[in-house]
Amino acid sequence: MTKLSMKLHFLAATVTIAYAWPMLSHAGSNADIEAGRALFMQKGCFECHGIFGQGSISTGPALAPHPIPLPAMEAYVRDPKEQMPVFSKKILPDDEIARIHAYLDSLPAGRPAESIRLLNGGNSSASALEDSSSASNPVAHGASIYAANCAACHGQSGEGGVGPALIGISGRYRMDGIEARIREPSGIMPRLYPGSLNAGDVEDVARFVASLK
Amino acid sequence: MTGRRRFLKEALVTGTAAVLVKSNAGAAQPAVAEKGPSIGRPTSPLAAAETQTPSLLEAPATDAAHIGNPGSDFMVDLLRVAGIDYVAAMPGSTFRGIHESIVNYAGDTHPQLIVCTHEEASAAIAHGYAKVTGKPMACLVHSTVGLQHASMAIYNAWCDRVPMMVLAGNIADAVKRRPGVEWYHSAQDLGALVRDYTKWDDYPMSLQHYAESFMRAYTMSVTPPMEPVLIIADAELQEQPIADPRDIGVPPLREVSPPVGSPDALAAAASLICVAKAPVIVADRAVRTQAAMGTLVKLAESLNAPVIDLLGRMNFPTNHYLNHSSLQARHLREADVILALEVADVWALTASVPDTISRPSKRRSKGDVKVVSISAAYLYGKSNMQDAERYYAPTLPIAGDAEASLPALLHAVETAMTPAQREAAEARAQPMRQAFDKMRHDAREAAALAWDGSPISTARLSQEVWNTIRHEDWALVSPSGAISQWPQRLWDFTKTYQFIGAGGGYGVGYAAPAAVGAALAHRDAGRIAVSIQTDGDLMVLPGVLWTAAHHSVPLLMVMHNNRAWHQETMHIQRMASRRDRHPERGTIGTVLHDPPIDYAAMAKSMGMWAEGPISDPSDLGPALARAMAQVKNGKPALLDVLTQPR
Repeated sequence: MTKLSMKLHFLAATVTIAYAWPMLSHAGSNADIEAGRALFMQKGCFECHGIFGQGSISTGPALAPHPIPLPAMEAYVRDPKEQMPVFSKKILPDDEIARIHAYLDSLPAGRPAESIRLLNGGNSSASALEDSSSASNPVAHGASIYAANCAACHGQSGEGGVGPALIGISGRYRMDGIEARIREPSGIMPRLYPGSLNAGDVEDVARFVASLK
Repeated sequence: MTGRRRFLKEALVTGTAAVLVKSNAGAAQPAVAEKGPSIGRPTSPLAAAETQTPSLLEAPATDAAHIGNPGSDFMVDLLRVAGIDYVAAMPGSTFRGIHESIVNYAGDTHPQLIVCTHEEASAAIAHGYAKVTGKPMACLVHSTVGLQHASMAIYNAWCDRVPMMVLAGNIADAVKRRPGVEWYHSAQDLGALVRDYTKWDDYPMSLQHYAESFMRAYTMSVTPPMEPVLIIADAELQEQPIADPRDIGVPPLREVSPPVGSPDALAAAASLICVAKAPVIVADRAVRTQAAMGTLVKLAESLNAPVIDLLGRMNFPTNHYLNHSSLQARHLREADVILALEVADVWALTASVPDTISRPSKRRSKGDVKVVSISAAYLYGKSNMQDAERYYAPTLPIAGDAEASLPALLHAVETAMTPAQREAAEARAQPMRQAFDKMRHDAREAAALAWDGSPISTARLSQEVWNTIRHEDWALVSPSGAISQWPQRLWDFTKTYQFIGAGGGYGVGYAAPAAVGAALAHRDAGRIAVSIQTDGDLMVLPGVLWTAAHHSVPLLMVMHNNRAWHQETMHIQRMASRRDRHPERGTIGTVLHDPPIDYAAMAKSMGMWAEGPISDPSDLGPALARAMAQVKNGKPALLDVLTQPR
């Protein structure tokens, strides 16, 4: 390979990197998604949350797939908790948040962890929870519902985030009280029942939430 | 007959050899009386002289134009006595005497020169080496200019409590300095440059003084709290002949037993831990040996207490059901007793300061939590550099080396536990196993996010690397903070040597040279070393790639090339948001992509095998296999991978 072709090869690789991202679904308009992705990068959201909103244990939680509802995102960005810097309307108008939300909402879920060989072959301690994550185990079923629908706001382990902490909630509410709050949410919490969740799902996720210690 | 042999023969005949090497000079223990030399068999002191300090037997030159027995040969002998196998150095004239002695007198073996392109690399290579071997490497620096270059890496080693022998050349006698450069390269008090972050330093004025100070420095460096030390090797002392070898006594190498917490204090600690309902063990720079890791495992299992590994060292197996490091916040919030083992910042176990405008102190733990802190940090400290972290008065502070104190603490716990406490501890086992399983499950779920994206996620990067090394005798020789700690969350670390730990003072530029030093140590132990190397760090001392190639150090260096000093990008972003202006300009001055840096070409230019940049995750596994083939062939290899920020 000549020096020139090596240089071109290198440049091609770096150019590729700048425009490559996973296949998108079509939840929003393509223009909004494209603009939202650009804003997500320009405004620096990617720095803590990753280019695909995957998050990092050390800088910021995952925002995608399944971003929190747009009103909740707007509310949090304007008045963040903990260490996230505030973004006013002056530097990040509502319409830009909406486009960023469209971008995050467009990101596909990707492959489940259990289907990825490199995430399963290397660990000697097989996950009991993973082994039992079928609908026959209500708590495990509830855990998977929680991970997909609730963890973005309440934290992966119920430690809280945009939404309140849920650890120890069984000390404050009975099971039917937890279920009621899922069925009839208040504030910016999205209504998932009936719709995304059926009655059995609500019971299972409530059981899981009650188990958070 | 050579002059040296003739001298030996004369010494045996006249009986002066016993005087020649007073091996116990200055030692507390008296020398064992010899019954008298037998014909043809040297006395013990003479044997010691032959094997340890033969420089004292070298004959002087027979004419004024030569030097037959330079002082620097004796200095090299002392390195051998201390078992120092390598001396990292970039050449500099104030230590030319020692340099020549290493290559000619020692034959460039034991010690061998590790040729560096910057003194900061020399010290950082020594840092990484010591983290693996537990013993110091020497680094040789050139007076004012070299020591100032080395100072950043010495500071990292200081913060990381790592032993290191820094030897610096200098010319004390002003009338012996040539006009010009040698004045700039001399200091009146050279040690002052790094005295705030070295445990001890001295400027010996004679070879006897040098021998005693060398042994004192070595001993202090390897005694907990371990720290770098500095000896100034005066150029005249190096280059002039050994004036009168009969007057030189070589102090024996006597390592100090490490400080252990008092039995009473450890018994009190055991009582506190045993009655706890929610005990938590936090380990930071605690474990140096596999035996200590085993003891810590037994201690945790006897209590069924979760262990938070802060990763200053590789303290606890990552696949053990009591390793709950990712559940740190929850456990600290619920703990009633915290056992802190060599934790650098004990205050931070109970509170934190968020990076907000007002920076308020916020509690992390219960107000009445009891904290037992075992640390050698209570035994030594300095004031200028603020590495002591915020003051905290634990319920029970215990001055002692945690590793050395662990066996006695385990015994105290096993002795103190009542049957009821044992039963309570056993009842914790199942919840601990479940929490561990969930923690690992959650880590895998999080790792799956953006798995097939490009730039490559740090989780994918980590798992592709793990897949490449997991069937080898491997070690990760780079910190994992910049890659979301995926290796500790997903890999099975079971040996203390499998992870180098964090870097100490967080001075950027540490990781690459430390990885080379660590890989050198692993090479000697027959292991495969891998580093996940950040781009901003490599740009500080890229010359270490040449050092790795030059010395055939088998290191698999995989670039985490996020094209930025990303931590700083986030800081500027925070400032812009807080000041309500132009967050989109937060990358100015903190990114490394215009023009893009071709790390593979950089490595190749220094004689290293390299590929990349790799941006498609499906290309990564095959490229790693090709790189690993080079490493298994005894060569370093670099793979440039374009990655996500964290």
